Amino acid sequence: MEQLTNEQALEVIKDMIEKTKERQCYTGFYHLLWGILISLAIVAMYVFIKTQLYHLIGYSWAFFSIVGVIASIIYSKKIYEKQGNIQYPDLGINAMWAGLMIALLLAAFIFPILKAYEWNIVFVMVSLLMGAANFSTGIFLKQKMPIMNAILWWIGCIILLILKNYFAIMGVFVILLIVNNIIPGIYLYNLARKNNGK
Amino acid sequence: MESKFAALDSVIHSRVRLAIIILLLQSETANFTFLKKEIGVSDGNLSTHLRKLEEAKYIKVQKHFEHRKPKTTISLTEKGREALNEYTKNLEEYLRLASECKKS
Repeated sequence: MEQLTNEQALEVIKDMIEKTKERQCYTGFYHLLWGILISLAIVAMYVFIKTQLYHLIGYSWAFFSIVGVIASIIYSKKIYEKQGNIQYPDLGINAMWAGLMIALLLAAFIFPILKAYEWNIVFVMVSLLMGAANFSTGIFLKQKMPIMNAILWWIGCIILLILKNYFAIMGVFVILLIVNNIIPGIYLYNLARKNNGK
Repeated sequence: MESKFAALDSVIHSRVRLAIIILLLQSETANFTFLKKEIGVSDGNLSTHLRKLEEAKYIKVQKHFEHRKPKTTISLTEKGREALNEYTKNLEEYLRLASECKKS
């Protein structure tokens, strides 16, 4: 029978904690996914405004939100299969982004259909939600960059509230999306690859 | 005279079983392959240790099929979490005593 001294037991505890601590599970996937999906939703919105098919705007937001939900479910299943475990910070990040998807569907599809606000306010609401998602991700990962992005999203939502022209609103929103989602997504992806030794 | 210290839980006080519990403590669930890779043990060895922990109700083992392949999912139970808390508390006491003895 194997003999384990108390000091060796302490070493085992330290080793196992270090092993999982070193691994960064979040690869910036949700940043990139939502960055790309919302960009597509804006392109669709632009086309619908130009072609005066205003009634389809809400459906494009709903469509891309549902695509995001499906892609996220497939992604989390694949990650679990690859890694073999679900760590608590990962679970927290997944739950937070899942909550964002539901909130996004309400803010960008249901509320405008119920005439709770005009379409320009959709961008303000999405910016607020993206800010919250970035902020929580930054806290979970102990990374300053997503926290800075959250602040930029929140500053951006005030600017979006002031702007009146639809195309100016879209332009500012696209800039916010690139700076606060696409770039951090690529940064977090590279960081995860470096931390995980790939 | 009654000992000041409680004995270390023999179910946990083994390199492999302690490693399993610590890994599970940080995860909601883990599969068999993950534990095998992280701890560096054979299938048979890991199965034996998992069975001991399961018998003590420290872990919950769920077996299912995915794409016709058998999968084993393991998670820590509340009883296992409490046992680990007790174990680390006792271990800390033993180590503190050993350090005091060395000093004197």
